[in-house]
Order: sequence, then C-alpha cells, then structure tokens
Amino acid sequence: MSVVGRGTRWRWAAVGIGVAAAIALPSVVPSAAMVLDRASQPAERPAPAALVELALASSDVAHQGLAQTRGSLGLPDLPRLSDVPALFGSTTKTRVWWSSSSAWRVDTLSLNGEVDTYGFNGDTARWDYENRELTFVVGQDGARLPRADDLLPPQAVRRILAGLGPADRLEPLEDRWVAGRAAAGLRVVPGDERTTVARLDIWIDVGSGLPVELHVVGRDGFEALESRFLQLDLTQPDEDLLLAPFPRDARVDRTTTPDLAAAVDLYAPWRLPGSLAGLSASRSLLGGTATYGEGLVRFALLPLAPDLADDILDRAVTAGALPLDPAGGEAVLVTSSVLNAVVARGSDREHAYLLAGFVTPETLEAAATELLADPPPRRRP
Amino acid sequence: MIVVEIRKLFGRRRTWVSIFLLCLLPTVVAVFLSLTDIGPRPGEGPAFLSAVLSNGALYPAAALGIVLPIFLPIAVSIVAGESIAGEATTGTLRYLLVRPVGRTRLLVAKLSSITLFVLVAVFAVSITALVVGLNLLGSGPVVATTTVSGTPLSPSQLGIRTVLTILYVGWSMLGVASVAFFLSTLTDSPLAAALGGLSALVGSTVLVTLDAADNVRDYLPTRYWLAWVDFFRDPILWRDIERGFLVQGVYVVVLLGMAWANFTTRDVTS
Repeated sequence: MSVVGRGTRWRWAAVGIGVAAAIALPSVVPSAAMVLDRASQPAERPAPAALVELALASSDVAHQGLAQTRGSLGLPDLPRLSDVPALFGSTTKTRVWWSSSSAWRVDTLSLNGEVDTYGFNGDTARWDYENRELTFVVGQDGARLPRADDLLPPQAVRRILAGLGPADRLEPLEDRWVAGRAAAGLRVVPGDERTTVARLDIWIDVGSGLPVELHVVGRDGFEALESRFLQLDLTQPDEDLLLAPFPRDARVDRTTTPDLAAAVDLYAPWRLPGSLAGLSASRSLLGGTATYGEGLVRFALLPLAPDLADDILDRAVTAGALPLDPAGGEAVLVTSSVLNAVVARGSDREHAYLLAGFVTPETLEAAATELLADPPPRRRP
Repeated sequence: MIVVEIRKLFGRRRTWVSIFLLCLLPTVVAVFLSLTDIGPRPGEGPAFLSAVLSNGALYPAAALGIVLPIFLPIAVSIVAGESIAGEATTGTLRYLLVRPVGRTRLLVAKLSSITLFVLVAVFAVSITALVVGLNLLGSGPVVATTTVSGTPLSPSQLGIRTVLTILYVGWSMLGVASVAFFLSTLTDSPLAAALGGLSALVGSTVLVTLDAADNVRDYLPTRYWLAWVDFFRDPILWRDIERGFLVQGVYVVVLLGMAWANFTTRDVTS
C-alpha cells in the first residue's frame, strides 16, 4: 500500500497547467497583439493596386531588423557561382540596418561568423569575418550575381512589382502578423504561361509601405522561396552602424568585378542579340551580359569562357542535368522548382552560355537553340 | 542540507575527473593548433576556432564551442542523472528520507549542487582555455580583437562578453540537467537517467536540423544553444539569446515541477 497518496493529483495538476500555459503562450500573445493592432488601424485596407504603389515607393523607408530567407531550389554547386546555390537552397538569416537606398548594411549571419555588406552611394563594402577580408566594390551599375540583401522582402518585392505587366493579376489576401505588426496581404498571379511562378504572396506594412513577407510558389505547387522579417523596427538606424569596419589585421581589397557575372559583363566578347525566344533584351546591350523579358518572365544570359563552360557542363551533368539536343552545339538543362538554367556550348567550342531565370525550360531551350544556330559576333574588333 | 550535498558532490574524485577531462579537450586542441598552425577552414569547425590562431584571447569562447555540443552535456547528464537514482541504487535514499528531511528540501539541495557543478565546469573550461590560449596561441601588437562584425573589442568588453557567454552556456546546460534530474526521480538506475537525458539532447539536435520539424524547432531545448555567438556580434543580437533563455527556463521549470510532483508523491523502497 502506498505511504504517500495525498497531494498527488493536485501536484500533477499544477504541473499540467504550467505545461499548458507554456505551450499556449507563444500562439496566444501574437494573436491578441494582432487583434489590438488591427483595432487601432483604419478598418479599410488599401486596394491591391494601391498596395503595389505603396511598396514601390518604400525604397527610402528607414528600418532595422532581422529577416529570414528560406529557399528550396536545390541548385547544383556549379563553379564560380559563389553563394548563389546556398542562397536559393537553404535558410539565410540576415540583420538589416536601412537608412536609405544609398546608406544601408545587411549582415548575413552564420554559426561561425558573418558576412556583412555595406551600401553607400552606389558602392558596396563586404566584410567577411572568417576570411578576415574587407572588399570594396566600386560601382554596381553592371550585372552581378544575387546577394543575400537582394532576397530581403523589401528589395525582392519591389523588384518583382516594378516589372508587373498588364496580364498579371492582383488579388487581396488576409492580413498577417509579421514581425510584431499587422501587414496587408497581396497575391500576384502571373498572366504569362512562360513563367514558372504560379503565384507570389506578399505582405506589406500599410503605414510605411514596406514589404515584410514574400512567398514564391512554383507551378508544381511547392513553395520555392520564403522571405520574411522576424523583427522589424521602423526607425532610423544609428549612423555608426552603417560604417564599414577597418580591422588592422584584415586583408583589404578593391574591385570592380566582385563575381562571375560582373566579370563577364565587363570582359565577355560577344555582341548579344536584341531578342531571344520572343523576349526583348530588358536593359542596355553595351555590357557582355543581358537579361531578356520583363517582370516574372525574365532570364539572364551569361557568355562563358571555354574552360569555365567545360567545367560547368561537367559539374551540371554530374549533378543530374538533362542533356538537350540543339543544332549547332550541345546543351544541358538544370531544373528546380521555379528557377531553370541551360548551359550551352557551340560546336566551335568558343561560344558558350549560361541562361537562367524563372521561365519554362522550353523558353530557355528555344533561346539556347537560337544562340547556337546564329552565334553572336564579337563586340570589339 | 545544501552545503552537505555540495560537499558530497565535490568530495567525489569522479566529479573532479570529469571537470579535468572537460578542460583537457580544449587544451589538446590548442596544443595541436599551436604546433601545426592549421585551423579549420571558414565555415567549418566550432565558432572562433579559425580565429584563435591569430588571437588567443578568443579561445575561451572557442573552447566552450568545442565542449558544448557533446562533452559538457554528457558530464552534466551523468551528474544530474545520479543525483536521486544514485542514492536509490546505493540504498541510501530511504535512510536520507527517514531523517527529518523533507523531500522538496532534498530536491532543492540536489538541484543546487548540480547547478554549482554546471557553473564550476563551464568556468573551469573558460579559465583553462584563457590560460592556454594566451600562452600557446596568437597574441601580439598586430592582433586586433574584434567582434565578428569586425569592430574592435577592448579587453574589458571581451571579458564582459565572455562572462555573459559562460552564464548563457551554464543556463543552457541546466535544461539537460533538468531532464536527467527528472528521470533520476523516476528510476533507480543512474545510467538510465543519464542516458535518458542524453537521448533527449540527441533527439532535439536531430529535429533542429530537420526542415519537416520547422513548426516545433523554436521550442526544442537545443535550438538556441549556439546563440551565444550572438554576444560577439556588433551590436549584440539579443533575440535568440532571449529566446534561448526563455525556452531553457520553461524546460527547467516544467521538468523540475515534474520531478517535484513525482518525487514528493512516490513510494521510496530503496
């Protein structure tokens, strides 16, 4: 017979109540806060078109906070593509201090350190703690590979919304509680069948117009990219935080070509065509690279040096790329949920290209076929 | 009662052997680093280990990064798992409770000794690492002690951030200790309690890396363990540290509550 019988029930009941409270609290507090925040705001939400205008005008809204980007594109690790596969295929946590579009800082956090990018008047500085390296990049007008700051909700959403066409449809979405504030929802449904994006779900802080959350969903129904603020404060950051550090034992470098795309843009020898696969070049063709199309139907074209093309082709095939059979050369197709790429090389082994974008494999294949059938001439004698 | 339990714990040779072994590992790592001058490549190895080759003052933080994932939880789990179950195994628990000692009081005394063990272990590792780091690893006039954001850190700022790290790591270990402590009130086998604590740790570590477990990740006990690196950012990133503190706090309170509810109402037969 038990010698200790009394009190058992109430003791375990007390523990049970404590556990229930601990489980319920994280969901109850934000819900209550959202209801209170919603009650303090106007009952009418701006129409979707007005939300787009608000977001596009938000590039100089000062803010600071913590954001998280989660990509699930599963791109193969191709040489000289820097952090791009990781950026689109894993979770990236970033801290942001944004004074204006010409004075900002974005830190990409890792368990072992961080890589910080400082933007000032069109130039950038990049501090890499683990390599103890400070790199100043002078001029950012040409092409470059995507960086972590490009995928933050404000920058990514503004870039998308700036390219919307008349066929793209806007729909309202339910409000959502994002980083401690109620945000108005907006859905963009692309009207062009050539894009791989099925829809974009966007949430915007109505008071400031700052986009705070973005979801990119592919035509296969899977979410390819999610970017959202975890913490957000709409205040001006301290100016000292926007100055790049200068540790005396750091390696300091200065460059105009921080990555493969920038180098190709400067040095690639071919005069690229004005249109490919029925899509016109979307910016000046003075550089060595080009982008074709508008809005969500857009792809980039990077001419490759022959040895780099060999390397990328080999790695792509090893990673499971599908071989294509274009006239005038060879090509492989790398597919992921929404981002597709084609690596093509001409029979002359001199012309080689990387084409990548949120467009269907058929669009990229058509563009590669056109390039291989009619190789572009040299842009300099 | 608390003093008695502390004396008993620190009077055991195995307590000091476990602390010695915890200190030995970072020392061995430092010796290898100083002899070979080969650090982990960027993105690999524990935090700060690549930086200590040029700056030994950061070695306490690196040493905590070395022992935190496995060795420290093992030591804490063994000590916490043995606290009640060890008395039951040796047959002294019944005699302890025959004396005019309340069960709650006994639990508090055991818990106090475990907490002190955690703090002593973490401080011992840090102090050993500081001595080893300054003597074997990089130092000198050209070495700049900086945050991971690249801004300078004065010796006092470095000291404060290291102490905050020690306290945070110590607090994180109390979560593991609570699991083993609760299990120790359920079973008469110290080994089962210690392994149970470690199983919870391993399970949590696996789930933290699993995308499919995203909805529960933020509530797992090991989710914020490595947030101490955020003390070395500029400005300090408090979000994960605060959350880690709260999550561990909930685990500590709930598991100790369960230990208390179970132990104060169970039949003690051994």
